[in-house]
Amino acid sequence: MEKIIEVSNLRKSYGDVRAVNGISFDVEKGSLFAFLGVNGAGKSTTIDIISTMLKPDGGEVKVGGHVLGREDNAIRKEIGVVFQDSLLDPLLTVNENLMIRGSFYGMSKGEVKASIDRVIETVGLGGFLNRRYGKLSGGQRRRADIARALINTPKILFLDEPTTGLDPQTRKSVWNTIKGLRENSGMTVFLTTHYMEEAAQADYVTIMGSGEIIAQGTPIQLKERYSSDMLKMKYTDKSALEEKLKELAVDYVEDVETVNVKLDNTMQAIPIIEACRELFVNFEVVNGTMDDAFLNATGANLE
Amino acid sequence: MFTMAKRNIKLYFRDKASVFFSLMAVLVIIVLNIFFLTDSLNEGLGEIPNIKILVGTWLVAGIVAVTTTTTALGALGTMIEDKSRKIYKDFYTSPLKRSSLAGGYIISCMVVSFIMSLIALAAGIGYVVYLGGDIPSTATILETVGIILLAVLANGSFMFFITSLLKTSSAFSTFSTVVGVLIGFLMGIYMPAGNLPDGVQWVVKVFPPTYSASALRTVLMDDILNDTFSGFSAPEGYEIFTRADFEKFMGVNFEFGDCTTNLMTAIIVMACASIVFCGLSVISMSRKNK
Repeated sequence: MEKIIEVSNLRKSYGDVRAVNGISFDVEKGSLFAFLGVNGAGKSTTIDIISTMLKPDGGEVKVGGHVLGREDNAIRKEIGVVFQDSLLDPLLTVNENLMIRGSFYGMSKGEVKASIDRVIETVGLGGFLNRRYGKLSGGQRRRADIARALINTPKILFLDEPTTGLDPQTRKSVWNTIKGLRENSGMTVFLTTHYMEEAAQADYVTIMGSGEIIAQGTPIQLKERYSSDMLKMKYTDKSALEEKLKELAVDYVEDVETVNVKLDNTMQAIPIIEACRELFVNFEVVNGTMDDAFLNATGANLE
Repeated sequence: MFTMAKRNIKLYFRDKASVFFSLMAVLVIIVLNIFFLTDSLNEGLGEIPNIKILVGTWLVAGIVAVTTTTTALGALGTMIEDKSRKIYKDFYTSPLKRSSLAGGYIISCMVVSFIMSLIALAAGIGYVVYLGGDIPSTATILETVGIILLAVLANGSFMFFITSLLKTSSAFSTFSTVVGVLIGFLMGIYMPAGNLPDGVQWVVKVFPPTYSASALRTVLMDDILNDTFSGFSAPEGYEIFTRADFEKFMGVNFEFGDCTTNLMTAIIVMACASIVFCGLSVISMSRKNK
């Protein structure tokens, strides 16, 4: 696969604080790349550097084959960024905002207009194109933000927590827009998010902690490595069940009303259930989630 | 660059509060004059014929000069807003040249200041006519517009330089308030420069924007001063009895030792201020852009 972003040994310090401490990673062309980490892990700094806003202290970054620091303008032409905060002008209409921001890319008025027509369709702005940005609802604003990021038909779209602060329904519709966008254009999407159900849909996940990369892989690989399936049994007689489990030589943890057994895979549950079937009233086998994987990966790092 | 300038101008005029507050100093001057100043001046100088029209024209010149400064500052609110709301992030990740960004702010600040000053001038002429004065000749109006243009350049770049040093909205609004309050004193508009204590008169004389007021007074008041002082002889013991005295007292021109400033001096001061503050702004902007 072709690499569209290549980062090697990237470093950035603020005084004594090493915000980004020599990280390296690649992003494949056309993929949905999720960039995770707790607050203060160095995610934003990394994105600020890749999107040409911040100068790194050291390391090499290539975006779309252009070297960061030398061909910044070439990079800027090929990226679109949806920032965490709304950065359009509240006193101008959506259309005015898009006309102004579109003019940054060296397009003529006619080209910008054609571009706006195109993004309206992709993002669904029809109804509020001529309303002032400041008067829009949160979801409409986000749509306008995405439209702005798409105005130059970017090859890479950066989304910095695009759904934070939105209600679940709006979040879903914004997410669907992003998904539709990828299916139709094959655009590379670089996403940061705090919602693991969004990260779970990524092609590749990189988790940052304290300026370093602490885990990376596909969502399935991460789940396998950092989370485990669990058998939860609601007991009738706690001590009898515990005794049986000791006899079977399986590790368990106590929970409220249940005893939980960590599994390498769900199939392992079958012999345990067989052996203990008299001793519980009900059971469930739970698959590991991205939430667990994220917590375990970042938690291990804290220790 | 021109799209950015257009954007900034739109943002200024759509924000009614910013338009209002950038005219705050002008409103203060008008109110002060209605209630105190004009009457006391008219009384004190009452022997001079046409004094009402003379003082009215003097006031209009001062108001236009203040407008060039405060509205320029008002328009620069966009620049601070872009900084404090981090809107610059959007600009910095776009292939928009930093110089176009800065140029956009400068152009919009000058254009806003010029438009507002012309409006102030038109309203001011209306006021003078209401007082019984004549509509200035076309030549005078053209000259005045020329001076306004220069004043906009000088005062606009002065305000731009200071704004480029500020980072937060609160610092900027504090600065705007200070300018709004002080500018009337510093340009000798709240009261004639001649009424101020000596120390303050010095500050007035060395404050560059003062010369935009001085130049506007010279041009706008010339005709009526000619009319008034031809054949006027002050009564015995009267403090102000010649045109030169009157001009000095009202801050039409200033005295440094034996030299008196004139229109040319004011134009030179404004031209120099434009060049110096534009230069300083460029240094300040490029320093921040790393």
